[in-house]
Amino acid sequence: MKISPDEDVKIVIAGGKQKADFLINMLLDKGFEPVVINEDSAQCEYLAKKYRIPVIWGNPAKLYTLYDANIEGSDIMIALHYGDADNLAICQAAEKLFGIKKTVAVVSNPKNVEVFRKLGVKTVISATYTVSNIIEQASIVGNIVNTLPIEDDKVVITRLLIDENSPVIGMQIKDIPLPENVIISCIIRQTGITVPNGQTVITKDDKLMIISDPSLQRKVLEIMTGSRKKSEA
Amino acid sequence: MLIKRAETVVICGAGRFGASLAGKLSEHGYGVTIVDKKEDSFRKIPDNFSGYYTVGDATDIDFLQSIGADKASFVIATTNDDNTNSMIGQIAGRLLNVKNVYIRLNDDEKSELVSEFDNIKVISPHSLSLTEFERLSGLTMTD
Repeated sequence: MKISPDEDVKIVIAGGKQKADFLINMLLDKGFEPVVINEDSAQCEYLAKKYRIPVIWGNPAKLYTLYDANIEGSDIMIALHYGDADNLAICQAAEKLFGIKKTVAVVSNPKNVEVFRKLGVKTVISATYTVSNIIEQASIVGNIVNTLPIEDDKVVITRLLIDENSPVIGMQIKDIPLPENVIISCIIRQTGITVPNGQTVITKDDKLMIISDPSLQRKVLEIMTGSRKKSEA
Repeated sequence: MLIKRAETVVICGAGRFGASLAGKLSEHGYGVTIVDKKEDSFRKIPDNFSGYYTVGDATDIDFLQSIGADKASFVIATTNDDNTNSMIGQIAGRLLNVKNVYIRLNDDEKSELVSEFDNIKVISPHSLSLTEFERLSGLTMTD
């Protein structure tokens, strides 16, 4: 669901230093006016001066602070406090005691992304988890510039850069032992775009657009780059 | 002859309560594992304790599983932090499906966060103290 400021969305930000600062800036920019709860008095003063928004000084991981902050009926709770356990409690209290439907927690232990979701926190963010997902998707090697799944993931287009380590440099496409259902649809070179045939020779710095079955993507990449995923090597 | 396997108990937080509970339960034949994030805390464990103690973060689901919390008859969260106890209790009771979970909460109101789960029970030192005061003094203050 997309939300826009004209719906008068009330957002509470609990805890956080640089993260809170950045987020407040971004929200104000988009026309929201968040309420901030922070236990560090210096941080409270700084934020209140800088942004002229309601700032409540207190530990957001304590229920009495949340009661004092008068957050009943807010729409979104964003928990940026130190400990994962605190952020879980903040989000659960927000939902169960203050009727806040959308809860967001930042966690430091990446395993807690799954744990928190199962325990009812709607959105869970972990830098490590996100990074590892990106690496997983962009997977295997740095040569993949991009991969694009189409037709409900039944077909995938992989854009692959042939670097100097590739074992297929100098080979004709017909001699590359690619499995069936894999097509090198197009080669992008300095000189222009080529639609290759069996006789076309792969050269260094070629960018290939490869159409394949998703299940064959890894095999194709192994053949074309000569590398395997570290965890499987 | 069949030997009944001892029921196991995992206690998270080796404070005074956790440590003495560990001693008592192991004395009564339970297989007890007690966890704390600080090695130092285990000094409080009484001499009659004959179970395991291990340093670790009990809010980590994999760690809890590695010490057998998922197979324990009881998991008891007695750290000095309510939110930590609540999280440990919910991981044990809701995700690892431990039948009997006890969590200590100093803030009574936080018990609402787990009130809907029958297998997670709250130990409240605050209300226990009130009850004890009533008993000792003969005054009645609860409605």
